[in-house]
Formats: sequence, structure tokens, C-alpha cells
Amino acid sequence: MTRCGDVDRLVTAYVDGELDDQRSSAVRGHLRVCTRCAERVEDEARVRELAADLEPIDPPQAMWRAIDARLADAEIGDSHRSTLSLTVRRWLDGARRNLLPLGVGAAAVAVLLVLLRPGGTEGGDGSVRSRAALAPAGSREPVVGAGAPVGPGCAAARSHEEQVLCQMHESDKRYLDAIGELHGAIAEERATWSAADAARFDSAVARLDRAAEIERVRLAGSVGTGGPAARDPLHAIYREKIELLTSAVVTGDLAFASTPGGGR
Amino acid sequence: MRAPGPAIASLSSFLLATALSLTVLADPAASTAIVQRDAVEVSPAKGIRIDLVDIDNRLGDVRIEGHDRETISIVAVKRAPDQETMERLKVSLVPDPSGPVTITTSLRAGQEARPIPAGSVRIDLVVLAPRRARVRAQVWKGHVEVKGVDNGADLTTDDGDIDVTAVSGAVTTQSGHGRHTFAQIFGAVEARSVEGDMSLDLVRGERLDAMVNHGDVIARRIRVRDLSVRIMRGNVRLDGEAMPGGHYAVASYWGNVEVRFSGRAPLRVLARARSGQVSLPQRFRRRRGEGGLVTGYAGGGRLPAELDLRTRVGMITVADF
Repeated sequence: MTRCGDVDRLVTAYVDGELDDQRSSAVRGHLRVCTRCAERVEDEARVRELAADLEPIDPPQAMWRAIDARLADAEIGDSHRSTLSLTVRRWLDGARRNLLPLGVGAAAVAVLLVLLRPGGTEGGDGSVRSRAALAPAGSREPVVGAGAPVGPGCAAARSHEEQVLCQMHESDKRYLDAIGELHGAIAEERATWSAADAARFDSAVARLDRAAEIERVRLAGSVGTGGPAARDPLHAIYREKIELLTSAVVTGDLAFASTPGGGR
Repeated sequence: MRAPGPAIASLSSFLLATALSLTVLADPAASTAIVQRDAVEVSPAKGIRIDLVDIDNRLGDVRIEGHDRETISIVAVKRAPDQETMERLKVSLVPDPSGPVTITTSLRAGQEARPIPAGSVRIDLVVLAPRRARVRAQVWKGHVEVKGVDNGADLTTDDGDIDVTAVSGAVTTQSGHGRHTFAQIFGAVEARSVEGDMSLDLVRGERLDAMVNHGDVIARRIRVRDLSVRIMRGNVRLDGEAMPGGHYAVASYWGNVEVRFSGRAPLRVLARARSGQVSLPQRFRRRRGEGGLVTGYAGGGRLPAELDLRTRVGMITVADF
């Protein structure tokens, strides 16, 4: 039997839609008969809503320019490297990817060593190739179902359900990282746009953000995770946004922003 | 395989021709794992053509091959940790009288409280479909492979490679993570990937539109009238044939752009490398503008092919044959 204490313990997971069907149903059953707990859950949901409405805080432009300049230097440096050097780097990159599952322990030691080195967050050649370095600090959009175990290939997951939840979380994160990186590049590019172009672009982005928010609310309110298929509409919106942002960043094509649904 | 539902039951026009179910123990190392192989062949009634094969498998890989018969053959290889879980793994086949056939897989909810171990359930599908049918496949963490169909394909995977070989018609692919490989495509191609390289070899059609956020695009033997390759971070290497009046836009935000076009069409190049160099062959008449813009023209004729090449950080190279 579900008691008030159980609801107190599960309220966060319940509002985030992370409970399995049985526990979710049990909590809902309790909420029907307990006004205090129903109010508690409503408060929690309201806090989430308010937090979602907060304006994201962008890092100062100077920081983006500094990162951009260092990336530019690093990549131009790469383009001047000898073929042999590039081949060795590519081989090392490939080896890193392939040996990742086996190298977690070694990586932990390496990270420790790097952290103990002064200025150890960069590669030995001073290059900054991490995608995270490009993405804004903190995603602009929340990840639905956050809290699932994460990691390479969701190896930490013990059950199938946990693994799928983790994979969905990773999938969302991949889209959001790409969107974050593109937003960072847009911040640089938009200085060259006309006010009308910028307004049209912002309006197209806002339309997609609204659509994504509606989908996220729907997912959060649905019983259980719904499985990967439940994410299809949200991922379609993310893909449309990536297409819009990429066109603007890579080719400066803002005409794309005027077409609802993009060019697809 | 799931017993046919009402949709199929009402359709006497479809015939379940053969059904074979084989349960074997998996390799001795995983002594508790069970592998079951189901094979089914579906024949449409006289006068009905299967024009679409729509597959939704979020539990494993999908391979589709075109064949010259009117039937659909499905082989499903299921893996589960025990018999009880195996019985929850379902493959549903729903043919529509108007032509489409839908194949979906699922893991049905069970009564037991015991969780299924991670990575212990899986369904891989191999489908032989009529060549003329359009194919559509959606997978989650898995590989999608399509070969030898004549009416195009729509393929989506969240994380996995996509291979398309010997396909005619419009092909669309999209993935969150994974490599896309195209070979011998005769039709329009639209490919989208967040992370992953793309490789294209021998593509002929009206349009090729590829967009990658993180990854390289290597395309060879391309002959299309309208080409667009857009990359956020990655290099492009493209060789193909320029068609008179064709438009070829290749852009990478962070990466090198290297193109080589043959053909009789004159080439008009507009190249902009904001932080790098633009290299054109000697035969191009060129002019330098502001902001790293270089324009060039080569060949004679009234209908030039337009090359629009851009990179923010990288080099642009137009190579000669």
C-alpha cells in the first residue's frame, strides 16, 4: 500500500515521468485519496514549469570569441600538419574509440594525471577539439527522463528498461548537444545578419522551441517511458531545428527559416 | 510471430505460406540465452501488389533485400534470456488491402516483477521484398541495410550504420549517430546525420542533399544536377561530373572542402574560405574579393555549372582532372 512517505520519496521521479507503470499507478491511486500529497505533487510540477520558463543565461560574447579563436588556431594548425602526423592522430582517435569499453579504468587514471597537470584540460598540442567546449554552458532545453544511468553504451544499466531509458537520455543529449553547438556558432554569425533576417530566424527557432516544449510536457505527463517510439515526434522537432540552424550557420541560408517545416 | 490480428484475419487475400519456428540454445558461453528463428512468407492475393514495406524494429537490426517475386519473406532472429521473455518478443505483420505491409516488433509487458537483464533481448529482421515496393525502416540501436530495390527507401536509426546499395528511386536516411554508406544509387538522395561519416559512391539522379553535424563526407562518381553538402564540423571530399546548369553547393563550417569535377560544362566557382586558402587550378580565370571570396571561371559555353564552396575555418581546393 502506498503511503504519504512513499509519495514524498517518489515525487521527483513521478513528476519527471521516471517511475515504471506499476509504481506510477500506485502513486496516482494514492493522489486520488490524499489531498495533501496531491498538492505536494502539484507544487513540484509548478516548480518545474517555472524553472523551464527561466531565460537561459548565455556566457559573455568575449568568451565565445576566445573559444572560437582558439578553435580556429587549432584547426588551421591541423591543416598544416604533415600527412604522417594526421595519420597517426587518426589512428589514435580510432584506437581511442574502439578501445573505449576496455579502457575505462585506464582513462580514469589518465584523467587523474591530466587533472594533476597544470592547465591539463587541453590536448598536448594545445588543440581544443572537444564538442563540449563549443556547446553553451548548460543546455537550453531540458532532457526528458534525466536521471537515468549514463555512460558509454549505457553499460551501467542493469535491466533492459533501465538501458532503454539511458539510451533515450543519451539520444536526447546528442541532439541537444548538437543544437547547443549550433547556437554557439549562430551567436557569432548573427552579427552579419540584417534585423529582418534575425527576427525571421528567431521566430522560426521560437516556433520549434514551443513545439519541443509541448512534446516534452506530453512525454513527462505520459505513463511510463513509452519506449523509444514515444520520442519520435520530439526527435523530429530536434532534427528540424538542427536543419534550420545548420543552414543558417554553414551556408548563411536564412530563407530556410521562413518555411514552416523547413525544407523537408 | 504473432498470430495475425483482425486486420489480417479479415484479409483472406493474403496467405501465410510457410511458418517455421526453430528454438536453439545460443553459444555455450551464454548458456541461459535462447535464440529463436522464425521465418514467414506472405503472398498477396491475385491483383494486389505490395507497394510499400514499412518496418519498425526498435529491438535490433533490419536488412531488406529486393527480389523479383511478389511475396514478402521475413526471417526474425529473436534472442532472450529465457523462454518466458522469448514469448514476450513479438513480430507483427499487418498487410493492408491497398498494398502496404507493416512489420513491427515489440517486447510485450510481462506479469513477472523480475527485470530483464540489459542487452539480453533482441530481434533482428531480414526481409525479402518485391523490388518494386518502396521500403521504410525505423530502428533504434541497430544497423539498417537495404539492397536491390527499385522504388526508393526511407531509413531511420537513432544509433547505427545505414547501408544502401543498388537502389533506384528517392532515398532518405537519417540517424543520430552512425555511418551512412551509399553505393549505386539511381535517384535523389537526402541524408541527415548528427554524428557520423557519409560515404557515397556512384550516385546518379536529380539531387543529392547531405547534411552532417560531426563527420566527414566522401563522395565519388557523383552525377547529379543539384547537390548540397553541409557539414558543421568535418571535411568534404567530392569528385563527380558537373552538368550544364547544375548547382553544386558544398560547405563546411569547420573543415576542408575538396572538390573535383569532370564533364564538358563550363565551371563557375564562387569560393569563400574565411580563415583559410582557396586553391583553383591554373586554367581558371579568377578574381579575389573581400572576406576570402574567390570567384573563378573555366571552360567555354553558355550554361555553366555553378560551384558554391564555403568554409569558415579550413581550405577550399578545386582539383583538376
